[in-house]
Amino acid sequence: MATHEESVVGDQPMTTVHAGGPDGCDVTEVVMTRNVRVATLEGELDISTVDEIDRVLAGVALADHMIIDLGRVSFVDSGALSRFVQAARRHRAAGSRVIIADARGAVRRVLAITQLDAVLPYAEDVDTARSLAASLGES
Amino acid sequence: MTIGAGDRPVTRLLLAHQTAHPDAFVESLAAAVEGIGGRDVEFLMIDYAHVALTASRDDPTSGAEPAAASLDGSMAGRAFTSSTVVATERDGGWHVWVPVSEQSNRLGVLAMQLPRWDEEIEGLVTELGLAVAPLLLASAQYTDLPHLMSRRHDMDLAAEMQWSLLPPLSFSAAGMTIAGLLQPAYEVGGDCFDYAFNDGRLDFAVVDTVGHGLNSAVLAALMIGAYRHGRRAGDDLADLASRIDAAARAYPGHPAFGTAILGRLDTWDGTMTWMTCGHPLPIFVRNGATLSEPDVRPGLPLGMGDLGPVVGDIVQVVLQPGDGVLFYTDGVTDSRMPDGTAFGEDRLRDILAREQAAGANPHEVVRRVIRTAVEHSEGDLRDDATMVYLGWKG
Repeated sequence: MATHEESVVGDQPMTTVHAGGPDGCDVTEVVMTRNVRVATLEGELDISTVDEIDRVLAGVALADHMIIDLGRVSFVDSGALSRFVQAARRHRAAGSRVIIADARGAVRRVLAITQLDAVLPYAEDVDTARSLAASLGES
Repeated sequence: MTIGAGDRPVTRLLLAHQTAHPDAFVESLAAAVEGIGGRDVEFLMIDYAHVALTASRDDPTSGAEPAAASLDGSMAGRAFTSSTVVATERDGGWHVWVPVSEQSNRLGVLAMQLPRWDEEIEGLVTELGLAVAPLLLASAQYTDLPHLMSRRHDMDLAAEMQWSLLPPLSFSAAGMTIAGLLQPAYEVGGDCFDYAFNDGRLDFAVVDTVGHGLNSAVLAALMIGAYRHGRRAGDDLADLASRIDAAARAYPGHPAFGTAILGRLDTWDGTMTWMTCGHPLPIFVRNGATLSEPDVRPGLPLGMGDLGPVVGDIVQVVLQPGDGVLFYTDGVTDSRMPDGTAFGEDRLRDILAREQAAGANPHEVVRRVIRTAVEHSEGDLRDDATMVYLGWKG
């Protein structure tokens, strides 16, 4: 069962979405900063979690750049990747960008095989992704 | 004793076939072997999953579970997997199993009792097996019987559409054999392959569309349709990729994309050109060992052409006689054991090398590798798993 919480940390609003996967271990959250937001996904992302992924990614306004942090994701299938691609298309249409960050192991390999790391774009960690997003400018 | 011309099983089969009801297949077979004293004739058809041979019934539409022979550990299974006639003496007569296949496309096994067994009879029933296959394939155009005989479970709509899209699972010509299998056979949706042989050249494609189920199956039909369209229009590989990409992007259901391998093999000299559009790289196997992964720049999955190029490197390799190439979808390597261990590419390479070293035929290689992956996941694949093996003897 998914829950949705909103809280404020310091001056920065934070939105957190907890999404329970089939094994109850998928936790996802969206952390807001100024115009660059980080969507953090966790666990195994496959066909059974696409609705949760959609909800998390849709939590970021299209005007903002979105970093999808995959540092704690252990598996992605094409169904999950398709949601990243759709988000990237929506953001592009709105003039912002989606940056994938910090994929590891098998997830990193899938991004390389599908070439998504070449087009979305991709950053090796979230800090690099933030710099990249900053260089893309305010939208 | 010599069999008269009018008693030849093939002759009798062809004559019986002229007037038989389309679904009176077993009756025609019984009439065919009457002249050599054959009785208790059964046709055992291979099921979609290539797990069991199912005996044909008088009424295939009845709900009763048909009798089935496992491929591993039955006489019928031995005839099927070895593609040879198997005979055992029993109760003063002979029980005989005859493979039914057209080239390398294996359809099933013909079982019967015979009063005697010698070289002449063996020759007659072997040719009967060869004659049955094209008749059965042709009949699939106007009766559902062969389709019903080859299923052991209900099939969902996506799988029904998918299977009607596929070419024969195995095909041989000019020293080349291509063989593929899809799992889970009765719920597959989204994985597909195609091939065609023209003028000494084999064109082939393996496609894995995003997601699972009906939408994926419809998208697969569109992409395979675009592939055939381009192939028959004389497209080169890059044009094929662009054409399929354009078709996928025009598909109204979003997101629509599929990873693919597109390739061509010149069967005269073993030159193979291929490209990957976001698809796992093929595994080459030579002399019982897999070769290291080629260094290839992939294109984007087909349907993502708005984001970047779908055409990456077009690779040319020259196969050596005896080489094999395995194409697979990620459902094979992603299949998990209950403890979460993925099947993985290393395991896939090990099994492939072992089967090739053992000299297995391409259709046996794919069957055994897929079976191992399904067993690994204890029958619970998380995604469609497809495998296509291309062998070139030179």
